[in-house]
Amino acid sequence: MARLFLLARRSISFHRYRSAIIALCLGVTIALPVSVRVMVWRFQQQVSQRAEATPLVIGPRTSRFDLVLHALYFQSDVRGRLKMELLDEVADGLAARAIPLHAGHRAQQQPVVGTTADYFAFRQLELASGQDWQRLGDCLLGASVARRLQLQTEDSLLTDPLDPFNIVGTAPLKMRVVGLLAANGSADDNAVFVSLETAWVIEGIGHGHQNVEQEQHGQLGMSASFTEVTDNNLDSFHFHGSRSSFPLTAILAVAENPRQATLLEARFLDPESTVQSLRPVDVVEEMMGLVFRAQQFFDLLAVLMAAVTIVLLGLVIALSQRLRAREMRTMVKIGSSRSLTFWLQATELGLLCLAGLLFAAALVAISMGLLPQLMDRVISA
Amino acid sequence: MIQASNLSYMYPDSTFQLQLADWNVSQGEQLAIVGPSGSGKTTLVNLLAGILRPSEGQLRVGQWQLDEMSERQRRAMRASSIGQVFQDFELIDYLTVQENVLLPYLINGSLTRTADVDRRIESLADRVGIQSLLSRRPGKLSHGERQRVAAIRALVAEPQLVLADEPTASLDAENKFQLLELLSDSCRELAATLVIVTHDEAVADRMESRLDLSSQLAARV
Repeated sequence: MARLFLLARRSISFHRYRSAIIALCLGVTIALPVSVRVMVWRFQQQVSQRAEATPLVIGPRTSRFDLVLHALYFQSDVRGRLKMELLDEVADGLAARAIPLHAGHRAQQQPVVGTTADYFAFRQLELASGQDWQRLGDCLLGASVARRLQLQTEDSLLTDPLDPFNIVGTAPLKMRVVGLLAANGSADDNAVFVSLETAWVIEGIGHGHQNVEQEQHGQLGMSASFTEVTDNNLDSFHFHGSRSSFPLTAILAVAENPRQATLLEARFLDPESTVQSLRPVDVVEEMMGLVFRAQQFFDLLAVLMAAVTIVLLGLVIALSQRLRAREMRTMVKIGSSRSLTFWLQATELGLLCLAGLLFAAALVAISMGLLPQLMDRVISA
Repeated sequence: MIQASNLSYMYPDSTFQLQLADWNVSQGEQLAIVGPSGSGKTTLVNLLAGILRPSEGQLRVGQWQLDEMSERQRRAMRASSIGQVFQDFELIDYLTVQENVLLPYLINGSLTRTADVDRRIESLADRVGIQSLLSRRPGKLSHGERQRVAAIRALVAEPQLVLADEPTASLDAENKFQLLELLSDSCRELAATLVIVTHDEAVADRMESRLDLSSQLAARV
């Protein structure tokens, strides 16, 4: 056996380029479908976990997928708004907990989520540094946002203009970073959290009476207007209209018991209503069904690729055997058995397969290491 | 050493048949096998090496009755008792010189590599001036150097019979006679029989005797 390994190793290292190509092809053929499956499985786990932790989402009657993605991952904005009075209705009689969300704006392309302190308890979010909101205009950063934008407490963060082409519209808000949240491996790491009131200021419903600050921007000499809440102008900020009519984009509802959950869902069954309730678990399951159908297609592609790779490898092996026929004849002439020549080539192929497997394992490990960043990109897109 | 009686071999699907009535070679004798192309020289060498089994007749090499032995037995005999030098040397490209010389030990479990074997390799390599090349691969050697490697590979297991099929065909005059001298002297030291197949009259003349297949019953059927 040792002699077989010696001869096989020598041949492999002598034909290093051929050996490397074979191992590479095998490795990629194995790694690709495995990585896709593992990634899909991890994605499903993460998405399902988030969905299961959110029993019910109430929102405008729009696409179910859009609403769930908005409420769970703060993706884009939903068409339509809820009113605060609905939150009171849900909280007062229909649910144990009703957590408001207003997540339609961005700051340096990161979602800005207006909510209450109840949200942090609900999602089990903790501060890594700093403190909770102290006043209007304060924000807490998710761990990934802080890292990506390289921001600390006491730094400031400007919201993105609502309409960059409307120079007389609501100015961006310069927020004060008062705290950083600890990473928890969820979409919350990618969000900027503000109070509902701050979100309404960003929306343009609330404002203060002050000169809009101007800030020069570098070499172009352009000025950017923004609003900033300071100790001096805090008292001037106010809202126009009744609080009960102020907008929300979604409500996360947790029922106390199954009966309450049924009542809560039944409340919004009317298809004519502008409000709908969804169980994220059901929507995610439907979404994953689509993903799995796509995965089946990729599985088919992987099988085809594997078949082609095997055929090509078979051709390489057959050609290699032809090239090595003389070598094998020499060995037989000197005293080797024919089975030895077979086992020699089988050992070589086995070692190449092993190298391919190791390479595949390394590729899968690398892709798993990149998975969190990939998930961030997919979920936060 | 070699005794052939009414020896005959015919390739399957071929019209060629080698026939040898009676032939004896003494232990330690050095002879040349000559004859025109197609007269069966290589066939005879393959029969002596046990690569082919006689179709008819008897063939004895040393203590082995080759016409009665299985392929496995002939293989074991070949590995342990017969050294071969091939026309194109047939060295393995991916093995070092030392590993090429050790090839009989690498491919046959009946041979065991010992410290004596290693010493023998060193001694033979030193004798032919290739000791510094033991760690190189054949691709880095000159024609003459490869010739010497092939020769000591045939001698390393201290065979009783050395078969060389056209070993000098691709060599210049100087290298040709160097190889002959090496084989001849080494076989004499081992008391081994040396059989060289050759077209070259100059080579055949240096042997103690010759077998001319053109004058035997090498009939085409």
